[in-house]
Amino acid sequence: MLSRRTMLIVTGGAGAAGLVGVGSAKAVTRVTSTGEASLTAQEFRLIAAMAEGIIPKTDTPGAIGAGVPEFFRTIFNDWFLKDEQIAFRASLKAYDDEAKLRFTKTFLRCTAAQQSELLNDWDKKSANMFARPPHPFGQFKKLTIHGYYTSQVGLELELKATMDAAQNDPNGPLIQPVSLF
Amino acid sequence: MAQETYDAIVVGSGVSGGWAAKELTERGLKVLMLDRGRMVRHGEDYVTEHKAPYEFKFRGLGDKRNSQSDYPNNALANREDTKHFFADTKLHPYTTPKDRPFAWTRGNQVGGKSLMWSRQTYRMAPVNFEENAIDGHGLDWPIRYADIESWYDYVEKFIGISGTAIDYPTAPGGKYLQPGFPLNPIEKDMQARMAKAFPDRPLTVARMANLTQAIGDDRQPCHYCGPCGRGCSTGSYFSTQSSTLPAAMATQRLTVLPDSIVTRILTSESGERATGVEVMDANTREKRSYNARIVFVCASALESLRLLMLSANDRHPNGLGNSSGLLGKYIMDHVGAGGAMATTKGPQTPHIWGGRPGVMWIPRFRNINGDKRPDYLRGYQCNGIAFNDDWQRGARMPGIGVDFKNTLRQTGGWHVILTGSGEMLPDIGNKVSLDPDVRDAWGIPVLHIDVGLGDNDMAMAKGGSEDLAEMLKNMGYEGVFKFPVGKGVPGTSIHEMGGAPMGHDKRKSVLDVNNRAHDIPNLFVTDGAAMNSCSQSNPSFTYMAMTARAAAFAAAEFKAGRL
Repeated sequence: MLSRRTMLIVTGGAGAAGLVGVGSAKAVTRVTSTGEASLTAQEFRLIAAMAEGIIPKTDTPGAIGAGVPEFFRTIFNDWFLKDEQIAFRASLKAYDDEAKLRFTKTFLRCTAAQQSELLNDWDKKSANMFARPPHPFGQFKKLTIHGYYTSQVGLELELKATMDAAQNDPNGPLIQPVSLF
Repeated sequence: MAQETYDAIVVGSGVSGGWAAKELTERGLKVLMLDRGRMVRHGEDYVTEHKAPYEFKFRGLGDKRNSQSDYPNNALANREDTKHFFADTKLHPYTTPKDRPFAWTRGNQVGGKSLMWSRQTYRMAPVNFEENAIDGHGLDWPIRYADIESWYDYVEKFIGISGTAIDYPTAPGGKYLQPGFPLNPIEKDMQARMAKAFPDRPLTVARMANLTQAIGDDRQPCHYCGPCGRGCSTGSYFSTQSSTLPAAMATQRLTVLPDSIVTRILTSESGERATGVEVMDANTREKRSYNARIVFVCASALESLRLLMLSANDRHPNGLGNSSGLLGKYIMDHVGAGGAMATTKGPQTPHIWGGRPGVMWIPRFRNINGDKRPDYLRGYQCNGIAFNDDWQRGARMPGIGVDFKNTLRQTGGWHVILTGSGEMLPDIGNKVSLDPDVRDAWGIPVLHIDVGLGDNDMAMAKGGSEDLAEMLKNMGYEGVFKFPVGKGVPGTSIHEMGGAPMGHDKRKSVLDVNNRAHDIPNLFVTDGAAMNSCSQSNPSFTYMAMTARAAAFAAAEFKAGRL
C-alpha cells in the first residue's frame, strides 16, 4: 500500500503523469522556437511506450509514472537544436518502420513480447560505441534514464535518496562528483 | 558628471576586493567598492541553492539553445543551477589567436568568483617564491615566504579553513586549521596504500575554505548539501558575502555600488597620482566619476590588466603603471598535469543527494626533497577522489526492463582517480593586450589573449600522467587507466594570473614590493595580476594574503599622510 508521502509524489510531484498516463498526449501540436513542429500525439505515445519498456513499473512507478514522456517533450520542444529535432523525429519513424517490417504493425500495436524484443535489439545495436553514426537508441535510453532518475519518483521512491543521506551515511560522507545531476 | 570623494576606491568585490574593503575600512578608511555586476544578497539571492533536480526544467542538462559561451569553457557556465553567476561571453567577448584558444571564466557580480570557486585553499611554499630566481624563468619575486607567512596566518584565522597540518616542504601552514572533512573508507584505504607504497608523498584531505566548525553565529559548519557553486546561505564556505563584506559593512565606512563598470582610472595632470575612477552605469550607461586618495584594483587578474590598459592617457600612453613595458606580460594558469583512474572494491552505499565538499590532496613531490626531474622544471600537486557509480552508469550498461531497473537501484562499483595540477612556467610571450577592433556590449575594447602552453608545461603534463598511473599500480589497484594528455587549453583551471609582475626595479616590474604601481604610488593591484609565478597551488589564498598585506601598508601610509 502506498504511503501518503508516496501517493503525493506519484500523483503530484511527477506532474500528475502517474494518474493521467499518456493521456496528455492529446496536447495541441505547436511550432517550437526552431520552427519544427512539436511532438505529435502519436510520437508522444511511442516515446512513452518505449521509455516504459526501458524502465517499467515495478513496486515503484516506471518511466510513465515518473513523467519521463513529459521530460522528452521538454527536451524536444525547448532543448534539442533543430537538426537534433529532425534526427530524433526520424528515429521515431525508423523505430515504427522496423516494427512494421518485422511484425507488420506499429510499435504501439506490438505485443509486450514483441516490443521487448525490439527494444532489446536496439539496445544491443546502440552498445556499439564505434558505430558511425551511433544508433539513436543510445540517446533515447540515456534521456529516459536521465529523466527517470532526476524525477522525484526516481530519486525519492526508487533510489530512496535524500539530502540527509550524505550527512548520516555510516560509511562516511562520500564525495559525489556528479553532484545532484 | 557627478563626483563623490572617498579615502579609497576598491574596483572589484571578489576574494581580493572583499579583503581590500574589509582591511581598509577596519583600519579607518572610508571606502567605495565598485562592481560591474549585479548585487547578490547573501542567502536570498542563492535562488537555486537547495533545489532538487526535478525543479530544473532540463534537469541539469543546461539550456542548450541559450548557451552563455562561444569559447571552450567551464561546464558550470551553462548549467541551469549556476549559470546566473557566470558572465555571458556574448556580452563579454574576448579574442585569441586562432591556434591559441583560451578559456576565460568570469563572475561578474558582487562577490565575483568567491561565489563560484572550488575553495581549495593552500599557501604557496617557500620554494615557490624562490624558483623564478633559481631557474631564471619569469621575474624574481620581491618577497619571500617569510614576508607573507603572518598574512597567511591572519587570513587563515578569519576565513576558516578545514584540513590537516602536515610537515612537508610544499604544504606549509595550518596554524589555525579547523579539523579536516573525514575521508570515506575507500579513501582511508587509499591513504594507507599510499603511505606504504610512497611514504614520501603524503595523501590527506584537501584544505578547504569550507567549515567543519562554526565561526560565530552566521557561519555554520557544512551540512553536505552538495552543490556549493549555487551559493551557501549558512555561510559554510568563504565568500565575500559570507565573510569579508559583513565585516566591512560593520564598520559603517563601506559603500557598495553594483552595476558600476569602471571604464578608466583617472590620474592627476602630472600622471603621478591616481585621483579616482570613471564609471559607467551598466544599465543606463550614464557616466559618473568618484575621487579617492587610494585606488585598489581587484577586478580579477585579466580584467584588472584590461582596466589599466583602458586607462592609458598622455602621461601613461601604454597603460597605467606600464613604464616597464611589462603590463600584460607573463600570463599564467595551471597546467592539467594528467590523470589516472582505477577500480577497487567497496561496500554498497545508500544513494546520496549531495555530498562532502572537497577531495583528497597530495602536495607537490617533484623537484623537491632531492627529487630532480630531467624532463621538466617545478612540479604539480595532486587531487584524488574515490567514488562509486550511481544511476548514470545505466546509460553505459546493456539492458532494459525490470532487471535493469533493479540493478540501478543499487550503487555500483568503486573507482579511484588521481589528477595533477601543475605550475605553468612564466613566459613573457604569454600576454594580453587590448583588441583594437572588438568591443563588448557596453562599447568598451576587449582583451586579446595570446597565451599557450610551453614545452615544460607539456612535459609536466605527460610526466604527471605517467606518475599518477604508476602510483595507482604500485598501490595495488586494478584496471589502471591513464588519461590521455591533450594539447590543453590555458584558462581551463580558472587560475589565470600574472601580467603586472612585482619587483624592486621599476624598469623590470609593474608593481613594487607592496603591490603598488611603481609609476603611481597610490595605485595598488592585489589580485592575481600581481603574481610572478603561479606555483603548484590553488592561488586564491595568496591573493587574499597579498591583499591584506597591501591594504595594511596602504592604510598606514594614508594615516601617515604619505598617500
